[in-house]
Amino acid sequence: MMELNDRIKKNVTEETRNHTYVSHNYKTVIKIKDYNEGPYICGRWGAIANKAKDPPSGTEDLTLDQLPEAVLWEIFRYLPPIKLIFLETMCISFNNIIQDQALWKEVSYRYEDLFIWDNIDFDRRAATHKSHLQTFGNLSDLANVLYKKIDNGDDVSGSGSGSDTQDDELNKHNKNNHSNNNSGNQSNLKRELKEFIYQDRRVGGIVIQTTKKIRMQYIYELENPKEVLISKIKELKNLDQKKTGIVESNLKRNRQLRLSRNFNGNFIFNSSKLILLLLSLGLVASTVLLNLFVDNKLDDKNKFWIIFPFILIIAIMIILFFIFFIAKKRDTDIFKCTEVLIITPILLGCGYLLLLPLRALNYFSFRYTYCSIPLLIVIGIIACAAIIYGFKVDSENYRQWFSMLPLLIIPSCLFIFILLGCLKLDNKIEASWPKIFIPLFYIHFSPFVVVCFLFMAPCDACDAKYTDSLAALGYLYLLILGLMLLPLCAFEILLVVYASTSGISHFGYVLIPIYLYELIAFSLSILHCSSPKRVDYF
Amino acid sequence: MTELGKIKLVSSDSQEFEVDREVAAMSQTIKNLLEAIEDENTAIPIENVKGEILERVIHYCEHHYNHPSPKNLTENENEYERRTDDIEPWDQTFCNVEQPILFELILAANYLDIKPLLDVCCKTVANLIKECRSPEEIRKRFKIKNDFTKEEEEEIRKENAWCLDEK
Repeated sequence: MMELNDRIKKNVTEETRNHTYVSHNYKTVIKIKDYNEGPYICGRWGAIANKAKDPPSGTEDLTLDQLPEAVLWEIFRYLPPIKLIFLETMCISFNNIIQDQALWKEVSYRYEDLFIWDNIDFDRRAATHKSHLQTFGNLSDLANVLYKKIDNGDDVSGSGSGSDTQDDELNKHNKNNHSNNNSGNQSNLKRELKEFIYQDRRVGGIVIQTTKKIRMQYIYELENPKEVLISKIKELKNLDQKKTGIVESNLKRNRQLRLSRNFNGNFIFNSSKLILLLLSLGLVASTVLLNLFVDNKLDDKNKFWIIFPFILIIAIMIILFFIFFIAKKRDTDIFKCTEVLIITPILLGCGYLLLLPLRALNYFSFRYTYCSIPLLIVIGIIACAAIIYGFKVDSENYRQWFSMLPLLIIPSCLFIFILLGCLKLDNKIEASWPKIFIPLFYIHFSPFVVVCFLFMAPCDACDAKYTDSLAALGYLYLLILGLMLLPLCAFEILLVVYASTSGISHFGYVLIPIYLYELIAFSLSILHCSSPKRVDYF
Repeated sequence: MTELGKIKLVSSDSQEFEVDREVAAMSQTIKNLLEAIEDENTAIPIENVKGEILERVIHYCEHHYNHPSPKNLTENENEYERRTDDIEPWDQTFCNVEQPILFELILAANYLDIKPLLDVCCKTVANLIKECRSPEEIRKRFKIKNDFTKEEEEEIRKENAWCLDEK
C-alpha cells in the first residue's frame, strides 16, 4: 500500500511539473512553478504558477487578490479596459498583471465589444457618432488581423505602391516578418493596410490628412495596445461628455498622444502660474495704491513710483501673454479659436487700465463713461459669443451645469452696474443715487478679468487636453464671472454700507479688502485650473 | 472495490467520491493520472481540493457529460472566448455561490485542468467585476486589501485621474 501511494505521489508530482497552461487566444505559455513537492503534498497551487504570493491558508475565506496571477490574468482578459484601469489601482499584484501588454493585446481583440458597450449608452452614441464608431470598428478589425498576422510572423508590409518613406516605416516595423508567401488573404491584408495607412480618410466630414505622424501612430498602436486602448477610451469619454457631433481628427489624437508622452508641460505651466500669481499680486498692490492716489491720499511727489510699477506690470503681463500664447499655439488651429476671445479683451482691458494713471497724471481729462462703453461692448460680445458657441458645441453640459437664466443675468447685471457706476462718477445721475454703483464700478479696474484670461493662456497651451476647447473657455469665463463676481458684488455692498455708516468715504480704503479677496480668488482659480478635477468642469 | 467503469476520488478532507471514469476524465489532470495508473481500483487523492468543492466539481462534470454544451461542439471558439454574457443558465446557477466558494472552484478547475469550468467561473468573476461602477465598489465587493504605499497610490491615481475621478 505504501508503495502504491508513493507511486501515485510520484505520478501526480510529475504530472504537475509537466503541466503547462496555454492561454486560449494568445500564445503565452506559463510554465509551472517548479515545486519541490507535487500538489499531492504541497497543496493547491499546482497548475498555474503564482510567483507573487504565497498560497492562502485553507481556513480563511479566499479573496480575489489571493488567486494566482495566471488565474487573475484569465479573469482580467474578459474585462473591458476601463475596469482594468480600475483594478490597476487596487493592489500591487493586480497592477503588475495589468501592466502586461499581452493582456491588453488580448483585450484589444474584443475591445470593440467590451469597450463600447461598457458604461456607454451605445444607442445614444450611435445616433450621433456613427461614423466615429465605424472608424473605431474598422481600426479594431484591422488591428486584430494585424496582431494575429504579426503574431504568426506573416508579412504585413506593403510592397510597390507606397512611397519610399512609407515603405521604410512599414519595413522597419515588420523587419522580422518578411515572407514570400503571397496568399490571397495576405494580398487583401496588404491592400487593407495600405488603404488604412496611406489613404486619406473621411471621418465625420473632417478630412484626415495622412501624414508621417499618423502613419507612425498606427504603427505605434500595433505595438502598444494598452496606450492605444486607453487613448481611445479617453477619446470616447471626451466625446461622450461633450456630446458633440464633431469627431476629433486622428491628427489631433496623434498630437495629444505625442504631447502626453513626450511633452512635459508641468514645468511651464507651474512657472507660468507662479509668474502670473506674482504679477497679479503686484497689480493688485499697484491698483490699490493708485486708487489711494486718485483719492488724494498720497503725496504728489510719490506719484511716479506708484504709477511706474503699475504700467510696468501691465506691460510685462502683455509680453508674457504673447510669449506663452503665440509660442505655444501658433502652429495649432487653436489660435484661431481663442484669439478673439482672449486677445481682444486683454488688449482693451489693459489699455483701459492705462487710462487710469494717465488721468491721475492729469495729462488729459477723461470721462469714465466714454471709455467704459467700448470695453463693455467688447465684453458683451465676447460673453454672447462664448455662450452661443458653448451651446452650439456642448448644449447638454451647459444645461446641466448652469441654467440659461443666470448665464445671461450675471454678465448683464455686471454691465449695468459698471455703466451706472460710470455715470455716477461722471455726475450724470443724481447725487441721491446710492453709492453702491461706485465700488461696483471699480470692478472694472480690477485686474481680475485680465488676470483670469491671462493665466488661461499658458495653462491652455501647455495642457493638451484643452487645446481645442473653446467651449472650455466659455465655461471658464462664465464660471469666474458668475461664481466669483457675484459674491464679490455682495461683499462690496456690505462694505459700502459699512463705509457710509462709519463715515469712511474714500474708496481706496474700501477697496483694499476687496482686492485682497480677489487675490485669494485668483489663487484659488489658478489652483483649480491646475487640478486634475478640472476635466470634470470642462 | 469500485464498480466497473468507476473510480474513486479522495478529497483533501478525506471524503471519497465515486465517479464515472469518463466523467472524471473531463479533468485533464485526472485523465493523465488514470493513464499512468494501472490499478483501476486505486483511490485517487485530490489533496488540493476540499470535499465540498470536489463535490461541486463532480456535479459540474456529470452535468456537462450528460448535457454537452452546444458551444463546446461548435467550431466558433473565438466567439465563445470573447463574451461573458453567454453563460448558460445551468452554469449561472452553478456559479451563483459565495465568493470564497467561487474562487475555490476556480482553483480546483485550474488544478484539475477542467477548461470549461475554469472559463465559466472566470467569466462569472469578470461579470461581478463589471457590475462595479467604481474602484471603491470593486474593493469593497471583493475585499481587496490595498498594499500600495501612499506615494504609489497617489501616483497611480494621478495617472488614472481622467477616469477615476469621474462621477
